[in-house]
Amino acid sequence: MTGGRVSSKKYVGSKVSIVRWRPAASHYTPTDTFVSGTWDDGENEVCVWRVPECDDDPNLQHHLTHQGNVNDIQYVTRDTFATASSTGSVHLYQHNVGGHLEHKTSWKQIHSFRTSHAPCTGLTSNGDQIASVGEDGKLVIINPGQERPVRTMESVGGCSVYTGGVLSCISCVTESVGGCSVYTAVYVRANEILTGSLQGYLRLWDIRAPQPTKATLHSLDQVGVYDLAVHPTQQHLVAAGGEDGALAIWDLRNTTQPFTIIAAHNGPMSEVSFHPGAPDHLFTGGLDGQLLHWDASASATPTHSHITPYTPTRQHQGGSVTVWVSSAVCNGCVDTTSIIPPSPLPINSLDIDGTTLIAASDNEAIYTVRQVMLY
Amino acid sequence: MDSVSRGTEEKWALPDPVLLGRMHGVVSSLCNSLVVFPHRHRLHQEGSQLERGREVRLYQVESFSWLWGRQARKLINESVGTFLSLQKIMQEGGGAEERKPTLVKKCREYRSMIQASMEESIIFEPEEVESDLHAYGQVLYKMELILSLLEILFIDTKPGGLVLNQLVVWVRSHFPTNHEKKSEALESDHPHQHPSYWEIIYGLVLQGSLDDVRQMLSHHPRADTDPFLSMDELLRKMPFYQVYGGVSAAEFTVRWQHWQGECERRLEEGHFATCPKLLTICKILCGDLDTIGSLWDLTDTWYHLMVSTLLYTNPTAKLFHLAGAAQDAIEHTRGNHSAITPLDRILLAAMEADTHQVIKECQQVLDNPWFTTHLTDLLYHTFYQQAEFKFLGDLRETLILEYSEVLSGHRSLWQVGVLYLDHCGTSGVAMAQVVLERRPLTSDAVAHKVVQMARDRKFDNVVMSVCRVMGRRALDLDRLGSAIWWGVRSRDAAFTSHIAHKILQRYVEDGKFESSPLLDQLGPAMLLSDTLTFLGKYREFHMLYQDGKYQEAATLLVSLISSKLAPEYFWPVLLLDALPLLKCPKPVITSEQTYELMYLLNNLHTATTTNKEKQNGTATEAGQEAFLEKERDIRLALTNNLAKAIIKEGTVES
Repeated sequence: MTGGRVSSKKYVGSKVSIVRWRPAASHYTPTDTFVSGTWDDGENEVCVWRVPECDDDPNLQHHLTHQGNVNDIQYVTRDTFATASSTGSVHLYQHNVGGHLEHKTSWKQIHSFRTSHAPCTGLTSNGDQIASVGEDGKLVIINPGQERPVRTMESVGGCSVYTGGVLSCISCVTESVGGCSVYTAVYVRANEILTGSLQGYLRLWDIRAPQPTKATLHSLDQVGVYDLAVHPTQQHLVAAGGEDGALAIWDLRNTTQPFTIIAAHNGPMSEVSFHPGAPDHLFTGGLDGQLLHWDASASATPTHSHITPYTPTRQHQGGSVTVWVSSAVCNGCVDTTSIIPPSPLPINSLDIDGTTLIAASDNEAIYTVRQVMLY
Repeated sequence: MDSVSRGTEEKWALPDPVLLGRMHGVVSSLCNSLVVFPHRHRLHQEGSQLERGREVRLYQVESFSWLWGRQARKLINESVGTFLSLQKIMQEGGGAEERKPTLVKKCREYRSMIQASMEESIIFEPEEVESDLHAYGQVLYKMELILSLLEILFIDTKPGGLVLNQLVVWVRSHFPTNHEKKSEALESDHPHQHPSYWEIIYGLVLQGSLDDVRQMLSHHPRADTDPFLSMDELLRKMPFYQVYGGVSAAEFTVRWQHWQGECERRLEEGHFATCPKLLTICKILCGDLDTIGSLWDLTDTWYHLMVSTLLYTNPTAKLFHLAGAAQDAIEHTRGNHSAITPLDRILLAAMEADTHQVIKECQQVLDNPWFTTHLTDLLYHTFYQQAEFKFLGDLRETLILEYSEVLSGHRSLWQVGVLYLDHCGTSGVAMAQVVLERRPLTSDAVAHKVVQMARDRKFDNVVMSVCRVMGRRALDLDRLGSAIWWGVRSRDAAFTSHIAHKILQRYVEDGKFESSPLLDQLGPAMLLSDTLTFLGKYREFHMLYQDGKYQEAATLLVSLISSKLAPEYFWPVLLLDALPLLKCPKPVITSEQTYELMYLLNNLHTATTTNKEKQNGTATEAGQEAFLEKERDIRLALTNNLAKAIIKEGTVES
């Protein structure tokens, strides 16, 4: 399994909370640039890195200071990305010619508690709008072209208002912010957002509708949901990484319970990511310092399991039939391999593009794993 | 004491006149910072006039170490991995022979880290102040020098205890100028015209690089004359001891003496009389102390001189020879060098095999706990279970504790600090708990990380206290949903009860529930406290009612009432909830249950009226008023229901 895999570790001198590949310019050239954000330091930074073609460590291209911890980074277009700050703000940055970054604009303190700012925890984008969630339990929709947020939805965290259906005698219906921290959000479709919260609720939002909640999904035992990932081609399939280190696969067509839950990590999961081109493969990172590769391709039907070299230019045929809802996966029959020797400190983030995976840890290291085996 | 001295002797003062020349209080925190403030008592006594209207400030004084630089942080983070894997392997046990390769490997890992750091500090960060960078590079160089010497002397020991070969390599790698100059000379058209042609050759001889010497000599125009050929032969034939070469030390000594005898013979026979330069080389080969001594400026330092001298006088030197040789070398160089530097003292202590002194000196000189800690740890594992090195165990723990204390004081490196604390006994465990407990919880993310670290180490009290703090904070912000989640996690019955009360009270006030989904899914966590159980059950009642399961709902409600789980202020609500059930066309509440309700109503009635008499203006008074209005309704419904129930029960029985 580990034959061709080459991993390297670069110490960068500050704890890295997030790494994201810059989207490739075209289908024919894999991307070689990624951005990273730091946290928990006197002065936090957003950095641009370039990965050389040989097996060398990534090189720092440019860095800018960032106010507050960088909790999440999300590309809106190929050249612009948004960062989620622990000060409750969202910042927009742009790649300039020559590898430099430029701070374009900010939406200041769109997340706040009664008396102070609330950290912004997650971002998602459909290429047009940005949705941001925070510890205050709000979901805020931002249009990159506009100064003010387009829409704010409160009590996303599942701390919604119960309007006492039974009780005619004491009744009062007002909007209130229950405020459970929301940790992650992801665009399922162009107008539908799924959020995951501290208390383990997944909520599906249709942002066009006046009453935006579409469905609420409960994980068992209030296991907090730390990260969500949508299957790149089968958008009803969602993988949720939980506080207990288990991966829950949800089929949004059946919201009563998760399709399957597979335990793997010894601590909360920090990030879950499907491979964009070969979605039978999934990668997770956890606070236990492990970086796992989940390979469900063995459960694929025979027509899909023959050896085909991975080419990013071609639509992967696994897209038509999804192995993640097969009975084998349901029985927990997924190959998990640890990609790197476990780090003593949490793996905070990972991202994969083509055959190269990058990951960031609290050990102040950025891992670059080349030739991650996909078939 | 109006100034705070740093690790060095440097002094500086806080620029605040209030503090000037006056007693002040000092609070030292967990880690390397102090808070300095004017002493209140004194301030009142003498400062009445002077300080009036002046601000009194608190100053936080932190020591700054080069460890906080970007480069050093890489070192810190990289070394923790090596440290942990070393501990793991050592814990797995194994004999001394199995341990040695690991120790050597780990020692080299540390050295390569230092070297990488050294290279990077040269290449990158040109914006850094020149002198700082230089100082940092110097520290790294010294650490590497010391560590590699200790590796040779103590860790990577060879059978027979012969150390010289390794020492020669050590000297070569730390004084590379001769080799650099040699390449430079050979690149030119006429190497022998290089201004320091002979100096390079002497230098190479003193470092034992005889092949390089021969290469240099072969570029001399007279290379094929007799003296040169004779010298070439001598250089070629010099025996080197190979540990695994199949030659015993005694046999080697014989060969070596034979070779040196040959050198002396040729010297006496005047082979090199025509060429004084070659004569010098031959004298070195013969181990002539005066000649080697006279060339001492080519060796830069006493330890280089010592190695060169030993190379040609005592090639089978063992560790215990070094102390004497080192003293001689120092004696010799003292005339030229005025004082012994701290580095010299460390190296000397190492050659005297005084590990305690080495650690002590390192600690005093190198201004960082990083090196001493890792060094002591390596030595501790090397001399594991050797009686005369017993002190290393305690020393190691203390040093690790100190180092992790420094790390824990850093705002970003506290996690690394905790990792080290896992390996220094009970005091480490206690310290780790304090570090985790005191970490400022700036966001959920930090809280989760602290909880995770505490949970891994089974610090249940820390997990509890962190969750409690988070819950309390959420409560202050009126985020009851989060508060109860953290409350449940903290397993703190009193706190969860408190939150449950809050939720119930809010429900009484405005008839809505915070975070109902959480309450609906409490599961076994519900049993944490009575109030929480009640809250969960009460939510269950709502669910049953909504689903139209009136019978079950009624049973649950009555059992809630009769179990006395409900707080008193909630009784009216429960009775009001019973009202629609009582009014059901088909009786769902039995006569037994009706009696219970009537009993409760009566109790409540008495309580309310007595309250009223006492004229207690409480917040719930309005609620009670409203309740009294409804009381008639309830009584009526109860009576009706009782009648219906009795009839129904009677019918069924017959």
